Amino acid sequence: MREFFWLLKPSILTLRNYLKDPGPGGRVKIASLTAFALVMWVALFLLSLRMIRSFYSVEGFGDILAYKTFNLLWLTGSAFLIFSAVITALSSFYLAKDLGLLMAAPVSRESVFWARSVQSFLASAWMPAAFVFPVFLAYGWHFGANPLYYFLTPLAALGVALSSAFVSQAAVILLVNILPARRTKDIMSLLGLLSFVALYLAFRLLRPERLVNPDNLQSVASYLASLQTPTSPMLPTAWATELLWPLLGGSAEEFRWIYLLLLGLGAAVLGLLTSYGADLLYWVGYNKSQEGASRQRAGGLLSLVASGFRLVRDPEARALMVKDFKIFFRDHTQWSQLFLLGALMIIYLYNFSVLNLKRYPLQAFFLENTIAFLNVGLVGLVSATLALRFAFPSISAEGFSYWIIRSAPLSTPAFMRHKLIFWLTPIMAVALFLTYLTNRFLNAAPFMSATAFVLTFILTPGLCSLAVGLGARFPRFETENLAQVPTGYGGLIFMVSSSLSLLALIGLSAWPVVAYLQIQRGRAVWGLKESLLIPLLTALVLVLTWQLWRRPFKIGEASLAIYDEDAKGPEKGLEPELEDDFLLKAPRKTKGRPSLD
Amino acid sequence: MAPWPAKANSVSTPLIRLENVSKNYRQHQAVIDLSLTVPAGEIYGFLGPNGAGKTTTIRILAGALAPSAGRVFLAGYDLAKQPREAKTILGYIPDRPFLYEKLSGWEFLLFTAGLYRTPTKIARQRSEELLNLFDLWDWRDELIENYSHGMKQRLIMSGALLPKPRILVVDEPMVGLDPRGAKLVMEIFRRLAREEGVAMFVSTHTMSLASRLCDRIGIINKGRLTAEGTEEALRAQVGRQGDLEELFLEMTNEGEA
Repeated sequence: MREFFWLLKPSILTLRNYLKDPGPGGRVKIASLTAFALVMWVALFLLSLRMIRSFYSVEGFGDILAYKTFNLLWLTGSAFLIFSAVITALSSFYLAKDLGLLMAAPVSRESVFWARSVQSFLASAWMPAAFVFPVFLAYGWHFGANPLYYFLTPLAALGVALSSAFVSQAAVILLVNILPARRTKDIMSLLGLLSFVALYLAFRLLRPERLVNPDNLQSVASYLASLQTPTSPMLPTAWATELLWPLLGGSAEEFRWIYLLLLGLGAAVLGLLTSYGADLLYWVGYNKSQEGASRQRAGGLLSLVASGFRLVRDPEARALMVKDFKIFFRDHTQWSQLFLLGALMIIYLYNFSVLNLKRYPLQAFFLENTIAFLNVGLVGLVSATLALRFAFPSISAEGFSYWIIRSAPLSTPAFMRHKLIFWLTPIMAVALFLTYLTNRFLNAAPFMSATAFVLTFILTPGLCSLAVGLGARFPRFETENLAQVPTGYGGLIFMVSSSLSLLALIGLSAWPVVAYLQIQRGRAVWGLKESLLIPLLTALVLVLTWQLWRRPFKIGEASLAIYDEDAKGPEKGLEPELEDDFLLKAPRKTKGRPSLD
Repeated sequence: MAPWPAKANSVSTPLIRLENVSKNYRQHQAVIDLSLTVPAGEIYGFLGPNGAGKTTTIRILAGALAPSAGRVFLAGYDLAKQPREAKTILGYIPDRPFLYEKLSGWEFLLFTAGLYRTPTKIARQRSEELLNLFDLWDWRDELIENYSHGMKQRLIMSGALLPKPRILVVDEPMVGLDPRGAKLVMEIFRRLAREEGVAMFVSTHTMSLASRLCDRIGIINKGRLTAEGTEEALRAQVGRQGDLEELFLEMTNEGEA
């Protein structure tokens, strides 16, 4: 037992040391992330409360809907945990870099396994737990739950989470004995992503908005009737539902202890089975995982497609682009995100294709053009999402090989510029394509279509520049999974900055666009106000997009030029100014200290 | 192999010049007021105990780290003011072989050539020569993630030599190399210095290597250059005979420990 706790010590000490000295700007990071999490929790709580209220207001079916959703919540949380626990278990049990050291140490393999099991459990369970917490709170709040509900919910969640994690860990132990560990991780990550995409597409394509249409009421009623079939009574998620649902009514009379016992026993039995499996297969699987995956070779279709970059005349730019292109399509954590992009585009276009504005003939012109204008903001959001997913991590994608760029005769601005061009090209194409198609769906006026095109054309480079600039300001060269880079602090800053920029752009350009449309329709005349405000606001839009293009790039450039890989940030002693005012000032270079550019 | 383009004729021309270079990490001074020169055709060995400031100096020389004070000149180019010109004539071989794992060896060399603006035809020709020289030709289309540590180290050396640098900065050259690879590398380094006039700055812990390879040796301890000269000159400075290892221990006060 002492051995087991000793093996957990490095993780505990790492966390303690981080909290004690989080490095330059670390406290600002922790404070802003905490504030963001609190805002998200409150938003999720209010949203859940609204959803429960609307379910409950459906006469005759309110109870069953609320009950089914409660059960579905447990099921979804458990399914999410099973998937994420597979990935963390694979890394913890078989791929972690310190395993060689631990396996050579005079400690039992059981201790190693269980220490890793706890780490893997915590790594996979914290996120679903954080997300479901405000939803359960909303249920309790809405129904005026018995105090026992608030005490038992964490216990039930622990039981369900432990059972789910043990299922994943057992599956991983088995899988690694069949497939190589790295390949298993690739397959599982891909499956997880595809399931998410499928769920997302399925939900939207089911057209839930039809539920509010009285024409479809009959089908809704039959759908609700089908919901009354019971869920599997053998699942821990069903036990958790049965344990807590009676308490939501406020009374503890119908409460059954047996379900708590079942949850505890279920987790214990699954834990024992996992332990038995680990005794038999962990060491064998560990050895197999060290033998490496099948070898991938260069050449083939990818090289053929990459030869198209010959058209780029500058050899430096060509070298960087070919490298980034090949690495992107050979790394599954990068290319698999194209599925997300595909799903996003399909849903986006689908939403516009089912928008029936002809139902409101008198306001059709107004609605079509207002939506076409607001669509610039929506396309901006899509571009921002793409920039966050692809352009933002492009600097971190250099990884530990960044020394090659730094020691090469290539300046930091040139390096960043190539990254920007590489990602701006496809993102711009997607943004313009979406603008064109949605304007066609909306049947927007020529002036509005042209405005939407121009605004998208000047906004997209700004968003990409913001992504590359902030990616350079907050690089994570040490990361193993590039898909996680946007979820960090820098990604959060990007989301907030890009949303604010979009709001400002739409806000500034709204009045001139509406005024011009009114004049065109003969509902207003060109007066002094229009002569002053239209050029002024247009100029402000241009200044804003120009600043979005220049400032973050400069900030990222100055920060990256003095980056110290050992300090995992700008060189100590050359730290930029406080991170919270990063948008206002470029990092300061002390006089006399040379820049490498 | 085709000759180096800008072979230096005079061994007295300092290709590497460090002037009062210092590097601070918060309160810690990693390098203090370091000045040294390395002329063309010379192999300069840079020795020191762990944490003495060797790797920091190497990274400053390679342009991968900015000094807190002082200046670095490579063939007369100020690394801070003319980084592109200075880095164009520099080859850097770090001690840890971090490479783009999803590229093949061949692709990596062509990528390196692009960064140095080497014309494609010459880049292909040089890549073929170097892959053969470092015994990697048969592995050219394998992704680097499949290479062993020693193979990655040899590929990094190929990349560093591809643009025919006039200056080579090397951190622990023999780490991960088998005896055959180590011998090959030593021969190549000697030939580059003697025949092509390349100035080499080599940091190492291996005393026997330093003794056999280097023309001059500098010893750094606690961030300061404490001794410099040929092995003979160092012996005279310490005032006793013995091999380089004994001299090193004496000069860094580790012999008493």
